[in-house]
Amino acid sequence: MFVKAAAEIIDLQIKAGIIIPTDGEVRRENYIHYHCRFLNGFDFDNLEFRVWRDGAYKSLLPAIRNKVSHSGNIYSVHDFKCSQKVSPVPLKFTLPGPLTIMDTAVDCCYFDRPKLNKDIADTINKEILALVEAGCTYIQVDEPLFARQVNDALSFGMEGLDRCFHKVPKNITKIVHMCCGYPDYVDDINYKKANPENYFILADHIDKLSIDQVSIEDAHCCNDLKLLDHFENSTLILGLIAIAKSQIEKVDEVEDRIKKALNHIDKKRLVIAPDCGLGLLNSKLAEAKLKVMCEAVSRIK
Amino acid sequence: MSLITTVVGSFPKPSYVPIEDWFDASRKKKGMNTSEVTRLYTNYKKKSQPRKIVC
Repeated sequence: MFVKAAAEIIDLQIKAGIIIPTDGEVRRENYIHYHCRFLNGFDFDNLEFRVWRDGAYKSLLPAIRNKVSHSGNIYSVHDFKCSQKVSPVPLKFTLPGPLTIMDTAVDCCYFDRPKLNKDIADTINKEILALVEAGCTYIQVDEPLFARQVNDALSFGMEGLDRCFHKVPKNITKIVHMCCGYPDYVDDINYKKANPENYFILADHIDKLSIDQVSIEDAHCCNDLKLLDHFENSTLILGLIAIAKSQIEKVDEVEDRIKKALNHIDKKRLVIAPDCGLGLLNSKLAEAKLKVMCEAVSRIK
Repeated sequence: MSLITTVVGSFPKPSYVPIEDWFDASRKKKGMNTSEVTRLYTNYKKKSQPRKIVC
């Protein structure tokens, strides 16, 4: 069933005009905890309460009760191979970043954020090196918490991200995604997002890492495009489709935004995407939005 | 050379997929209800067969 679902989602994305699709993360209950279930140290039976995402959410979350390490049961190779088998093009594989995992669990053991970040990064690195071995060439670490916790991102988060990609060869495209966060439901206008101004603080630092592509949102927050001038080395994945609004973007508007972006960054270092994953939308809406985005891209000569 | 297009990750799951994610919960109840989704998936994992290496 998961393979069938992945095949349908991949096919839909390709038909819409997506060059580098994912399998839609069909096997996951969410993009963060799925990884944690393959680690030692996490307790999913006795959840703990916490306020997370700077107060945007309050709920029970898995607890970290012992030292975090990988269980040895690598999941990414299975998931990647099953999905790649039904894709005519190379797939991108995504994993959650250490800082984002930390904000979506309750630390009942470490009370030392840099140390916890390092141990989680090592578990991600294990999955990534196995993925490389399995032939995956586009690997993305999702670290939206960089935009919310800038001080932690700078003091130990960037090092953690580097650690995730330790020993990954140069022919692999290493990607980091850092959007400003999901609301609780579509068209919720009062949710607390990260401050997109924080991208300016992060940009110079992240551009110096050995990351090939940096994915940021723009549709929702409408950045000052001078931000793009700060990316001198990395390719920028620019989000031009809002993932939590039911209103479908207009092709002309997306096209215009791409043209404005190209005043600040080379065409060969610009990739177009939605702001974040499309899971919050219904399937028809997600498809319609992707088609608009790809139609706008096709107009750029 | 035209611009490259990509997606970030998640996509709405087809209805026949036997697990619920945060987004399914959000569409049904106007809220991600993360704790309940976590519990449901924990139960699903306990009932399902250990995964095979080959798919």
